[in-house]
Amino acid sequence: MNKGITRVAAGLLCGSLLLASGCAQVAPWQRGHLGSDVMSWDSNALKRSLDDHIHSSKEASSGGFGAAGGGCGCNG
Amino acid sequence: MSQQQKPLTAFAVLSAAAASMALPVADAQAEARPDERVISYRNSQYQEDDAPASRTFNGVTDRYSVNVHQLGFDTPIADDWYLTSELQYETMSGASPMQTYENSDGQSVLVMSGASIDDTRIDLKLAPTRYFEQGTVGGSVAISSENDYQSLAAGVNGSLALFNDMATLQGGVSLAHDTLSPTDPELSTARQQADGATKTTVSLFQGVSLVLNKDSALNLGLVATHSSGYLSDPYKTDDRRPDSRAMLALSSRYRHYLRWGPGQENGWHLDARWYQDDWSVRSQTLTTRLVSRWTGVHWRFELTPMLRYYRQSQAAFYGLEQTPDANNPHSSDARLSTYGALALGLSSELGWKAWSLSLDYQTYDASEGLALVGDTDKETPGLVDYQLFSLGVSYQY
Amino acid sequence: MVTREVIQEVAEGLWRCHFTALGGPCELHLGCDDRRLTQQAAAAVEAETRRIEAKYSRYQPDSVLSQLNARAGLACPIDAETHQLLNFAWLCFQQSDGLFDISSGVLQQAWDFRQPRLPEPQTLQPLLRRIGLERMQLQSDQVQIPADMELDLGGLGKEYAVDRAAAVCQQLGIRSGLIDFGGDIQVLGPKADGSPWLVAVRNPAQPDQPLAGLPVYQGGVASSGNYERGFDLDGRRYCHILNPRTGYPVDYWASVTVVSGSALLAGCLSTIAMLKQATALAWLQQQKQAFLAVTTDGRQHRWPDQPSVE
Repeated sequence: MNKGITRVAAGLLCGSLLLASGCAQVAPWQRGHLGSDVMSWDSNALKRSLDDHIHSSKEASSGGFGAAGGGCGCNG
Repeated sequence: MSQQQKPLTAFAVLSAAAASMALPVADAQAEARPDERVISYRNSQYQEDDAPASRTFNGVTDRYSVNVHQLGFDTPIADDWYLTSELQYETMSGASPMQTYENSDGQSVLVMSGASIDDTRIDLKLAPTRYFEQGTVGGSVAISSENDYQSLAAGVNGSLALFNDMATLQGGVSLAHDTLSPTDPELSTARQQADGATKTTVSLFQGVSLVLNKDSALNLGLVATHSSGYLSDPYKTDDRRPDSRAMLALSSRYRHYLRWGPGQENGWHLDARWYQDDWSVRSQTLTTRLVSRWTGVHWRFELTPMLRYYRQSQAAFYGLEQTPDANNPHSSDARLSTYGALALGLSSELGWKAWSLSLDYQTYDASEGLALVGDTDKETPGLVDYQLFSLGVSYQY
Repeated sequence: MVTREVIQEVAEGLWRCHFTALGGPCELHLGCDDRRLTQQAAAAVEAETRRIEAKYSRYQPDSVLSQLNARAGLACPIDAETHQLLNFAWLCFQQSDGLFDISSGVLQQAWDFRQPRLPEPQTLQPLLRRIGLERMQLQSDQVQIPADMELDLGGLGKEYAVDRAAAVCQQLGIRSGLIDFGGDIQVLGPKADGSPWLVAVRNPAQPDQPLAGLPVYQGGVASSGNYERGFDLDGRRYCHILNPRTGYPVDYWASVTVVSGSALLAGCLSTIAMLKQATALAWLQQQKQAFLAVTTDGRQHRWPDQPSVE
């Protein structure tokens, strides 16, 4: 499992960096849209923390989307 | 104090402004430390639908309802430091399933905990972040306390902007240590065995955000988690799970900007997650949102419909035998069965100057049939459907 | 990026570099012993100038400025640099009692300076109603302008580019030199022998003749004049510097030249002086910055009294 994780992690890192260097450059001042609030990766912190908490306590999966699981007595 | 101040000349005013800008302005500014303080409060009502009476052994059908108070405070604490904090207090009451078994007619029968459980949980999280020119370094500590469960967690994380901010790498490690102390240990040997038992979780996270073009961006993430210790549920009958669990989740998030008219903008979000663990649970999650925002001079309004689909396949040791072999791992917990769930949500937020008011609704329906692929003919009455209603207010200064 | 700057050594340790950007000639006169460093500086200055041009040109549809204008009516996220420029423009507006207004560019739609013809009042009136920077809502990370407003950084962009070019040279360690982007000038530092640079001021009556030479050791020089663009009609000069309240050209000064800490400061002070008409003289004197102003009837005013070499 650990070897598998290392490989997947290395693959993801290399792949994404290749992808990044292959992307057309978007100048910082052309990124106005990307900085808009409607584009945020996460919804507001309180909403996100409760939604994650509920989903991970009702489902067998946890983690993903930039966060680790754990921290409550609701064994899934 | 009597001396009257001479009005500044235009030159004095303008040269002060020019002095602050004439020198190099870095054009590749990674994430900048936010300047504002934000206080927010949110109250949520979580209500599970009743369990189906026809499939309930002892006639107890009312399930969990939870009232959650969340208080958030975010503030700059030093030159390049920003602190986010959250205090959560929840009170829960209701019954939860103790066991599900298949009767001689092939129907699944749900045994609910007889007495209503009343518990409170208090949860505190602190996360300071240091902002650098090209990235961030942050830490987090969290403590969670319930009548029958204590959890301590800590972590570090960081981000690094590369290629003129075209790509941002993220990474983190977190560690959690939980201690169980089940209520009413005299009710079962499982509860007695679990008293004082611990569980340790280590989690590694790695991710990258990419600017695809001027209207879209992609984030990829990988989380590897390992838990060991007491992983069973002491409140359930014949619940014996392995004492370690290795989990891997791969996630991707896509954002696309759309504009339909002046003063109006939209972000289309598509999030996907693939998960698997060595209990042989596999799951797929797909979430989509459309954030629509209307902006005026002093006000803004945001409306976000959300659709989430989740499916999973059962753990290797999931089973519905009424008296399973005591030497093998076993659980009849519906959360380890094969099922699918559909959630629908609508969030709204109205902002006026520094204030904002939010109203959210979410409905969640889980069923065996929604698993779509690999569904079993076993009924799983222990699955929950719930509604979540939240009201929030926040102030920035 | 293709560099197009031309470099020649005009005297020992004095280099002249030339390229075209921002709609005109851009010249660097650098005092430096090292050819490679000079080349590096010229390339870096050109790259920085083109960056600013691409970011703030109103002729390029994907520039930040064009995007702000296209998104008029909507709060737009802006970066620190854009905030600083807009904030500077706002201060100019405030300090000039509303005369220096980066939203007054719409008046160009009524004035075509290639033909000696006055605009009809009915074309001018609706344009005047669209002007007024007081309606801009500027915050550190976002700006919102009314849907009918259009911003034009033409009055500040070139001066800002000169100052940035000077900063680029200074970062590379070049301390002696002069940067001249079409008459907007920043002096990095005195010549190698310690003598000042002599900056020629045009004679507004005969723009190809110098009126005076200003010795400058360090700082910015900018002129604003009625000779740059405009036409003559019935014995009157109609120039491109327009009063945002009347929509008509100013006519008191033929040119105002200011020497100040940077090209940006010199540029905005000289333009505000042109717009302030007759009241500009007292105002300029209060600023305690060296200036040379010439009225349309040829009278010269200067401070300090002997700053120039005739």
